[in-house]
Amino acid sequence: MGPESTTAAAIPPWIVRTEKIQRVFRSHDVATVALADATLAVKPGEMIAIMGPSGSGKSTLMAILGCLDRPTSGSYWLAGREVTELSDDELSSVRNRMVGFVFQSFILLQRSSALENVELPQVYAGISPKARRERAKTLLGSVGLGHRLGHRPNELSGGELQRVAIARALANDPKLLLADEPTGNLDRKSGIEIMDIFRRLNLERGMTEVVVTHNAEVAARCDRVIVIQDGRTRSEAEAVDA
Amino acid sequence: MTVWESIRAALKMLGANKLRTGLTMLGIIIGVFAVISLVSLGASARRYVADQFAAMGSNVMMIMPGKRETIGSGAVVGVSNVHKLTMEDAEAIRRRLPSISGVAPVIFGIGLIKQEGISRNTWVTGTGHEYPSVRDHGLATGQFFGPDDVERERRVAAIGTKVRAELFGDVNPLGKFILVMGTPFRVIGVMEPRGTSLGFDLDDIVFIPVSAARRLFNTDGLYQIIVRASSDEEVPGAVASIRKLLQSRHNGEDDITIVSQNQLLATLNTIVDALTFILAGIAAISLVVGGIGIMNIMLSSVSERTREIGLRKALGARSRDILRQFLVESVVLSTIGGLIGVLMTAAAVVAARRIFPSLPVVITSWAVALAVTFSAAIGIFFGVFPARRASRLSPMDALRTE
Repeated sequence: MGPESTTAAAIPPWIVRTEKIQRVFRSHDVATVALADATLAVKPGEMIAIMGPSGSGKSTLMAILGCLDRPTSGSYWLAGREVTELSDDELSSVRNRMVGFVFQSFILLQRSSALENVELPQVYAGISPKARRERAKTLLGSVGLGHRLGHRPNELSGGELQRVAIARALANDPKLLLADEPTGNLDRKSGIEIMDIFRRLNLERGMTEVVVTHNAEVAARCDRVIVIQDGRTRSEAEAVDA
Repeated sequence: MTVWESIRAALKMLGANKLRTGLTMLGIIIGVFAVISLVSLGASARRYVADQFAAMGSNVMMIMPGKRETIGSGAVVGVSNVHKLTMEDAEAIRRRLPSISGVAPVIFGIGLIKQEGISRNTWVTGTGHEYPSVRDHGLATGQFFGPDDVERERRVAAIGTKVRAELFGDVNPLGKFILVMGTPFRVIGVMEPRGTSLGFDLDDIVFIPVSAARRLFNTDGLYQIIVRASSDEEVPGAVASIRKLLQSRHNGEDDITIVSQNQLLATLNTIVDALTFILAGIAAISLVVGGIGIMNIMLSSVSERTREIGLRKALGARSRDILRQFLVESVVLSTIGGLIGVLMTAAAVVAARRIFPSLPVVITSWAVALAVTFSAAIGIFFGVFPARRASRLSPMDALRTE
């Protein structure tokens, strides 16, 4: 670990802490500022929502929080470690062990069973086939899919698909669960069920969760809302004031 | 992920699109089949030639009139200004060179043979009494003519099994007369069957004393003199001493060609090898084309599976994990194609053995090893580019691809 990661500001209580993150995309000679100033902090065990209209930069922020992308400038400490300067392989390892992703469109391997999908992050963690099979069974059981282990995605409903994805996100016991519009492709009832699972994980396991959404009903079920507008983060109160 | 797991995952992916996988493999299958079967065919031809020569004896040499650059048993070209080979030359070699164990002067041509109304055009070979030992060609029944018969120009003949079957059927030919180009000869022996040697049927032949043949063909020059050295080691020395002897007999002119069996065999092998490599090279081109087919299919697979790649990276796959995944897929694809190609060649060899039992069809093990290794290498070579492309995708962009 570098000296930056041991500075006082980087030591938890924050699981996620960003400081003036900028992300500028350049194609040809045109520079597009997707994030102008994203500064936020999330405490362990918090369940927060990031809200904003489309084009506000929330997808970009989500990608940076998930270490799928690097900021152009600014700092990001994930569980006390400054990650903006890490190599690609190190970022892969951080994603593998620290972050669990839940996507709007589920993104499961179509030719693999629910069990195999949940095993996937453990495959890249180098866990033995036997151990990861056991773990995947337990996780699918915990999201109520113990009876669907061998089913493929095309044999499952939307709500079930998202529950497989949640089980997959939990596979390597991450420090942070990142959900991008997790209810966006679901009917209202399934959406509520999924949000119940998130809340339960948060309460029972103390899971830190960041949910990116533009659905106010979803945001209302979180502890706190961070609004992002024109690439800048504000607290909900500030946003309302503005 | 262990190697075995990677291979299983690759098989699963390839099995998901069987038609596409099959068509891509076909390129490799055909390439491998072509390479192995052509190399094996070359090896079979080599063995066939070697077998033919082994039957003749490796310490046998042929002396022909005229100086020829190339060797072979074709027609003598431009013999006008050279000395003929004569029976006296043959006699001198027999008498004066101790390294030579046997000498057979040869005159031959095609002549009409008749026996009780049955006639047949066949090879008439005039030679000396040592021919059977020089050529290692024994008799089935009766005897070959002796030195006496040659010296006194007796009209006796030893016939090949085919001639015997055609002219006499089941009748014992010994003591019977045949007309060789109108002249009666008494049959005193039947040669052992020898089959075909380099397209020349050694059983469809009539042997008569060289003296009688000289009169029959109205020539005093020999077509060739076949000599046998006492051992393989004597061959080079014998070649030199024959050359020296005949040079002194031909007014100092070096106007003969001496071909040893080993030399002929080596030349033929060179030709067969060259042909084999040319054919195998052409076949290898089809393997490369097959490889391009693999690259093509892997590239389209990468673009179809961009989201999968993004997902895998999001879940913790490193670039080299993705690289390996796609590389293993293309290598598995090409190697299975290679193995199927080998099996098809094996099947073709079994079929060829049934259809041509006399041809020594062999499957060359080094060609099999080479073709399988080569097809795996093609999988790597043509798989690297698509796999690198996959591994370099940014996870964020890849995930957003629809």
